[in-house]
Amino acid sequence: MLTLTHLEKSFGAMKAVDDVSFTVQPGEILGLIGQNGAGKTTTFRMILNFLTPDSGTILWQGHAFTSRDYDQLGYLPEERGLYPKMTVEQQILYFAQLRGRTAAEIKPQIDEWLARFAVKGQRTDKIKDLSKGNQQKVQLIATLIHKPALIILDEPFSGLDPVNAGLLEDGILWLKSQGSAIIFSSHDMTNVAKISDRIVMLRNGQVVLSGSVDEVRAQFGRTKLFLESPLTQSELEQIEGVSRVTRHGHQFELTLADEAVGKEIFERATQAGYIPEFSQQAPSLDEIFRLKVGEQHD
Amino acid sequence: MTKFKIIFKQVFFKNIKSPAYIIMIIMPIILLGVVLGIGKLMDQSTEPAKIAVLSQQPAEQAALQQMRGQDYVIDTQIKTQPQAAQALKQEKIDGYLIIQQGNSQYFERKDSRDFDPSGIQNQLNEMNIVTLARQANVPADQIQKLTTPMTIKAVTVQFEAGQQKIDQSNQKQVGEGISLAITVLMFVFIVNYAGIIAQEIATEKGSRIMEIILSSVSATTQFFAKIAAVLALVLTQIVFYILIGVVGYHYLKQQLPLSAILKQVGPNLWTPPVWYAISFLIVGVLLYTVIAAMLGSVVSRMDQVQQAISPLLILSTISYMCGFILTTRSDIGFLKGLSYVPLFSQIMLPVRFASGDLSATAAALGLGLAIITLMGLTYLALIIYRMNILVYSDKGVMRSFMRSFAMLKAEKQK
Repeated sequence: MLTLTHLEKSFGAMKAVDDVSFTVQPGEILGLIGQNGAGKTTTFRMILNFLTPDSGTILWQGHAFTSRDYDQLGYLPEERGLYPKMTVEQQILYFAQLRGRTAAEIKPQIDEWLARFAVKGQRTDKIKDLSKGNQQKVQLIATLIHKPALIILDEPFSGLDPVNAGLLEDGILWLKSQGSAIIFSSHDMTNVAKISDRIVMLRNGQVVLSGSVDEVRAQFGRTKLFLESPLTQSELEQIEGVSRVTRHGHQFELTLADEAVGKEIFERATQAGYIPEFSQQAPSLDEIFRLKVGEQHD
Repeated sequence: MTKFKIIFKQVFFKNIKSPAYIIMIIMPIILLGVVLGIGKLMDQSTEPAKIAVLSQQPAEQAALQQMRGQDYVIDTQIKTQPQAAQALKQEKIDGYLIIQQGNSQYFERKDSRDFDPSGIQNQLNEMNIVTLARQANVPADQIQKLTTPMTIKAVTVQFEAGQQKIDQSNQKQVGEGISLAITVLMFVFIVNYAGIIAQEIATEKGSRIMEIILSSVSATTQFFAKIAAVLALVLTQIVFYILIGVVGYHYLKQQLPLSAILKQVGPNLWTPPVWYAISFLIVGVLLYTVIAAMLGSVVSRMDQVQQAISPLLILSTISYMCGFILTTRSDIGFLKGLSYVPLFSQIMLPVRFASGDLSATAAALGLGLAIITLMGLTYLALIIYRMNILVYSDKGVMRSFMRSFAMLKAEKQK
């Protein structure tokens, strides 16, 4: 288990990480979200021991990281990098050896991993001869092939098309099933909502949201309402507690100040009987993200 | 396998297989080959001339035909002038000499091998003196004395603690030759290896591979593994040249006219000046390598590497030029002083030592100074390396470097 407690880090006058605490259990995926500069990469860098926290603790399995513990780690940096002149096999082996694995252990697994991520290329191909997408997949394989107990992925979905993003999701879920503790950062809330067991949102270095996706959404109440009924836009706008109405064809999207207003809207919308749609939901992660970012600018 | 070994192997084998490294190693040998090839061609053109010697007196002719010289061979079959003229026409000989009392003549074709009959003239004079002396009943030992040529032997001396000492090798020229070779080799080594390490580090940093590597191994281990790999590359090159030298020496020592040069150079190839030169070469290259590693860690992008290491290259160029001046002018006080300063000493002290301008004690002192500086600089480079290796800035190399010093105490990294 990875445990971060009251982590703080400043660069000069700028507080990059401010009292951040969270845990990641084995077999759990934590999505770390936040705008650029929110403190995600700084948090990762402290876990990786690239930076020393000003205060707070980082514990792995209950103790501070030792050099041996870093062999159980898989890290994918935000900006990818490989040796262009190495072959796929040499590249994967080199990184695996740096994680304390032997060539004999890793070699037999390479083909299986190339197939898992549908890499178009042979293990004998030079990295520079692969397409950018395939290079990215090789990088992922190099991050994951030693089956790390702790996986840190900085923006793993950036630059991937939906098909490859799907392959990556499958890969991450497979490692989760193997018991790895996984933290990843992403700007794409769809991926985060889909695979995260829990999310932590950072803003200006502080944790502003934390919990499972459902818990986080529930904190905001069912304030989103999708409605298809005889009620007109102006009728809807006049209902007290409706803060915004947006029209999408026959459908209206309502933002409610209070989820209790939903009951009144339902009654008025169904006065004449059947309506095709009434869906009252918590806001999506994407909306929560925008909302939280927006708070900062208000 | 330890992580040190893994990184060491990766850096060593990547570079040793790279075309740039292979070219760097082979180039001097190719150049030497070209020089020797030209030498050999010239050697062929200076093959001894084939001549015939004719005299009207058969007794004298027989004696003349016994003459030996380095630049001529006498065809003893040719005994008459028509035979000689015919052989000359058919290019069987390069010329013929007709000896007549007071008026000898040498006949040659326009395209004959160059032959200077004045050498043979001395031999003839000597023979003449011997003949006349015998006729005058001069005793044999007197004749011997009469014909012993005067020789002048050059003796090189050096002054150590005010005492004049005869340089045992007596090979000032050889010393100068070695000095020149040291200067050139040292410069080539420094420029190449400083470039290799800076490029190596900046490539990994610029392509962000560094982050992955440093998430599995400490910056200190990685730094020393890289420096060790460069040292191994330097040693590989030196050992390669020594092997080539040994093989080449055995082959070339039978070749004219190199055998004469090798006879002079050979004994000087394994003497203190050469040991010191090799020691200085290793320490000097390491000094520059460590600084280059430090500079390489400061840059953010590959294209900044040249800019970052250019001050270092300028420094090595200056030390090269100073060393070069010292090969011919060892009396400039300023250069003598400068020659002890690390980063200059690796070229200048071996040159001074090889040309006999410096005692072994002073050379050892300079080497010691360079080693102490190397240790200090390595420590500093390691700190700067650890601080900068994961810090990216677009403010230019100099600003990044200055910031590092400012942060030296403020920031504590792995």
